[in-house]
Amino acid sequence: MLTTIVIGALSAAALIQQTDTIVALDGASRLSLENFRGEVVVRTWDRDAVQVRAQHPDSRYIEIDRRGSTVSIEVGRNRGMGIAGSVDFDLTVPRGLDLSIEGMALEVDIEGTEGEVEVNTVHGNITLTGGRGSVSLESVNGEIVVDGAEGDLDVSGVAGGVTIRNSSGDIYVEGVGGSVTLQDVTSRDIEAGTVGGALRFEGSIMDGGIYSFGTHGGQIWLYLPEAMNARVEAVTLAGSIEVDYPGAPSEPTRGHEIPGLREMEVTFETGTGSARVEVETFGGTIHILRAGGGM
Amino acid sequence: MKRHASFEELQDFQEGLLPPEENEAVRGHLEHCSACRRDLEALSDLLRRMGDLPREAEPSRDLWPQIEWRIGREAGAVRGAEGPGPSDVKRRRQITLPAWQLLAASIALALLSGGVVWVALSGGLRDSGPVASVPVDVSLAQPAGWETALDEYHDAVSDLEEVLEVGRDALDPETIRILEENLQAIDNAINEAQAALAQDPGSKVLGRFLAENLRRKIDLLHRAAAAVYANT
Repeated sequence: MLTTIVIGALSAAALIQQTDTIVALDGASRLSLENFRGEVVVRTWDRDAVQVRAQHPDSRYIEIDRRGSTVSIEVGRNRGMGIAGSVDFDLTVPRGLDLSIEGMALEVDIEGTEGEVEVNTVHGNITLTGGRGSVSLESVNGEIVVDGAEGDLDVSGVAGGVTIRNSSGDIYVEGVGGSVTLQDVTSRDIEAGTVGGALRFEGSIMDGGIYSFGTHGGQIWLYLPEAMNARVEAVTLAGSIEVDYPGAPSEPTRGHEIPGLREMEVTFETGTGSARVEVETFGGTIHILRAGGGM
Repeated sequence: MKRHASFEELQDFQEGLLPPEENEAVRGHLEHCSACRRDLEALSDLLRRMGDLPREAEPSRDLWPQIEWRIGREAGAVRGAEGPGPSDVKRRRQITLPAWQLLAASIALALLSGGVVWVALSGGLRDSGPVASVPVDVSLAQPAGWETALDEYHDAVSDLEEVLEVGRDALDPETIRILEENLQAIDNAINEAQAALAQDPGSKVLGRFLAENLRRKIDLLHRAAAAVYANT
């Protein structure tokens, strides 16, 4: 049974302290880490335990606790030791363990996990390879890259790009001030949007799927598979549409008349038309192209 | 009362602030409406946690599926009659649901969470009524249904901007710069969409653009407020 472990209590001897401990899970299914600032690297192994390695100044201590089914790791500040302090974590966890990582300025690198993942940071890049079930990633100032995830993906980036590749499941992705790239994704439900950034998609269009892409002040590049059953509807206000796809009209038509704005639209259907692809921009260009032409 | 109770009505009902006639109307509705009873239960839980100055800046995550399910049911777009399960919560904002209803749900959620942060920071109840300037000009014509959503938007933005103002020093200059830059980008998008909507109030495309960008602003302010809370 895990009792609270406090590591790195006040020490006058060393400026930098090392923590290296192994915590048995004893049925815990989730790991929660709260770290204000630093790096967090997560890898996986086959043991039913978590290895916690941390490098931290003596102004910080590591507290490991068990709360219900969650093993909780927090960083505390030793009294009177100043406010600065970055803690770098190296965690090795079971593949199926759910992860929750939160902080203000974190560089997060997770690889090999097959559990749910939730990462929330203000500054810092997030790189995730793997992830199953629910994946939720947020960074205000940093780049987010997801590779090989399966499940419900909810990714939001501000002032940094978002890239999701080789992943499957329902995808909701949003960028403000940065680009969004979806590459080799397999999904029946995608909703992707940006403000002031480009949006690129190349992936499967599955029968009965719903795909929604929208930008305000950004371009959209859709590389659609040649063999798909879909109805594509593209609308732009104060923008343009360029199409180079078999069977699609090469020129857009004028849409609804709005004083002061030019609305243009393109609609076409391929195969049974069972999937719906909806594309909208305000002040951006929509490019609808055949996949294989390169992103 | 045949319509569902609004968030304000539920909160006032919970706190005993409704006039007698309205109180009875809400009570009568709750007897027959499981959706509103669930919303009231979630709201009560949140208010209890606000009173205890909770550590988290966000309300119970269970609120969102119930809000979305109720709005989906109102619009006739819900999938099941029994309520939301994990697979029923889908993001369909741009496709099946009226934009202003989605906006109202997002605002209600952010309003509650913004209130939690404000209480934690100031130690007191938040002021009622808008304070800060907002980019949305309410004098411009809006599609039917927007008025209530925009009123709530103004309140939510004001509350969250107050949190940022009070807690500004808790964030480093780079974070402030990033937040301000991107809030400005969203504000520009909102203004463009609203100006276009003034010319064509019935445009669903423009309505979606406006709703999405208003929601983005609320989301970003909410995240900024959470960052302030984490630093204080």
